[in-house]
Amino acid sequence: MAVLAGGVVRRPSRFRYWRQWLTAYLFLAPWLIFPLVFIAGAIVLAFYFSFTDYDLLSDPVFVGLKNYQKAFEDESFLHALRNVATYTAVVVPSQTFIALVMAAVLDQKLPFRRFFRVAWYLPCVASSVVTTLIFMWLFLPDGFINAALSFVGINLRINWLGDEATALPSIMFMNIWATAATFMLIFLAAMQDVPGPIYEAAHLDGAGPIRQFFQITIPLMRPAIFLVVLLGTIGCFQLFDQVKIATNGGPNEATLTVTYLLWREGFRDLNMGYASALGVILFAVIFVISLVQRRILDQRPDY
Amino acid sequence: MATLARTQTAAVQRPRFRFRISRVIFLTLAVIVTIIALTPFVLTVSGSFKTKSEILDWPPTIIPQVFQWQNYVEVWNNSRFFPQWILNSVLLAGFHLLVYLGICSAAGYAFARLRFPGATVLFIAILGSIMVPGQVLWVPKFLIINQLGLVDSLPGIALPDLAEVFGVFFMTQFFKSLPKELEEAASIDGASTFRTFRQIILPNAYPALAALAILRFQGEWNGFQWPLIVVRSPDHLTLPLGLASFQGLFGVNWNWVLAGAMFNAVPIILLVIFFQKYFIRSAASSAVKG
Repeated sequence: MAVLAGGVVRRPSRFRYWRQWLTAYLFLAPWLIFPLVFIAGAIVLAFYFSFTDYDLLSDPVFVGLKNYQKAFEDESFLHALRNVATYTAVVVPSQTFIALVMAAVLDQKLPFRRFFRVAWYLPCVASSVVTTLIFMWLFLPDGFINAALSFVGINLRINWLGDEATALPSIMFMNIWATAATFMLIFLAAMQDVPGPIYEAAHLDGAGPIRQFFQITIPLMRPAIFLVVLLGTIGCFQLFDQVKIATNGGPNEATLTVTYLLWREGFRDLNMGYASALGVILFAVIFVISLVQRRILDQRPDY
Repeated sequence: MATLARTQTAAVQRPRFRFRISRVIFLTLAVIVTIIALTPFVLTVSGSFKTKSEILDWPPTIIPQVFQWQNYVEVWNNSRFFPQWILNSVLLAGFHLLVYLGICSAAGYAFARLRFPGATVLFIAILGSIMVPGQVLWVPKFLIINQLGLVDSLPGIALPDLAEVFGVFFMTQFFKSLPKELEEAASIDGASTFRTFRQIILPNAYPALAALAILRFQGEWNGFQWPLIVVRSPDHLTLPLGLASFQGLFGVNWNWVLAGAMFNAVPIILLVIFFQKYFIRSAASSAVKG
């Protein structure tokens, strides 16, 4: 180290400090330039353009808070917020519960564990385009899902993605299928972190496996549950791909989401200013929700 | 020694709800989940080899009556730009594997080992930026690449994606876990920081680089939102974008759509199967990022 043989500590000269700093920034610079432009710079621009009217063709015009005011009078935006809230309220609890069950099953010493883990994870690695196309086909009026339902005696022949009542639930199903395993991995890692002696002590105290699960595993996994709920909520508020590919927000705005509206305003209708304001509002909503969830869920386990 | 080792393993072992009925229940659950997870894929594979009429038959046949290999040929030939889309996606992923991995490991090394003013503030700012949803930046990012003249081009997709912060975070954590002795020997020998990095640090970072490479490949190969915003012309689309334009293009020819989807899904699924260990590791830590 810096201690030489004679026990003398050699202090680096001022020049060596400068050299070290320069080296560090040379290592950093090739990457850092990109987040500086495309994250930090973009955040500043997002705020700036949210106060303007801008259509790419003429210069941006400063309009103050008009875009924000417009958002809260925009039927489509309010509708999109309601859709996303409904979607989140159903998807987050369901996928959290399903992921927890999946992790609990994989945490057992079952045969074929490695096979199960890979097989369950496949829906998460296929692209959103592929999974959406597959489900569009399965959800057709004469597709697999209706056929399977009529096979068990339910003859409905629903046009799942084309009917106002079933379009959003169909996308919910599709997305739970596609993302549950990602959250399962978080739960699985957390379960394997629970120290063994705790279970032994519980076992000696006469607690059965079910009680151990609910009174030890679940409370100790609270940070993981918080994380999964938080990430799930953020993901739900950003729902876009499936809507863009399968329904284009329809039928009759039944699957309109905030991000789809943002895309439509910004890149179809070229209302860049209004789209920026929608983005800032989306960020604020997600930020507030994560703070609230943190207060409710992220407490130390009482052990 | 031996007794010590034995008591330790005993302590590590945990009872995993070991009674017989529960085993049956757990195994049943596992099989049900497997069926739900795999059925859409199995149907897709078999559907991609079926005729237009057989594809909607009930009950569905798992093995097609006559294998329609020409579905794949027709997808390749009938949509003029299909080979171009695959090439675009390969170029995009290849560029990122080379450049993103390089600049991330250098930056990660700086955060993990080098001392410089502003390091902590910068690192916290980077972590904080994870909180900003990607869609919020669509408009400003588009306006920036518009100024740079990169709209409707592959660099317009690739360059902003290099700003992704997870890789730097991941590499920083990894380099911090390497023993410091590795570099100390080199620095006594008088090697420069750059040489130490290239000859000592990088060769020891292969597991982390492999995990990051797989994750990054998945990100670019599957990417949909940002390419959708950047490119317009049919010959500049990536494979996912091209596939998404299929259903409008081909209307009711679902056997072709499914065959096209296979070109996108198969490479990534093979990667997961062959590099399971790396995949699960990087996926578990990247999920933290969302």
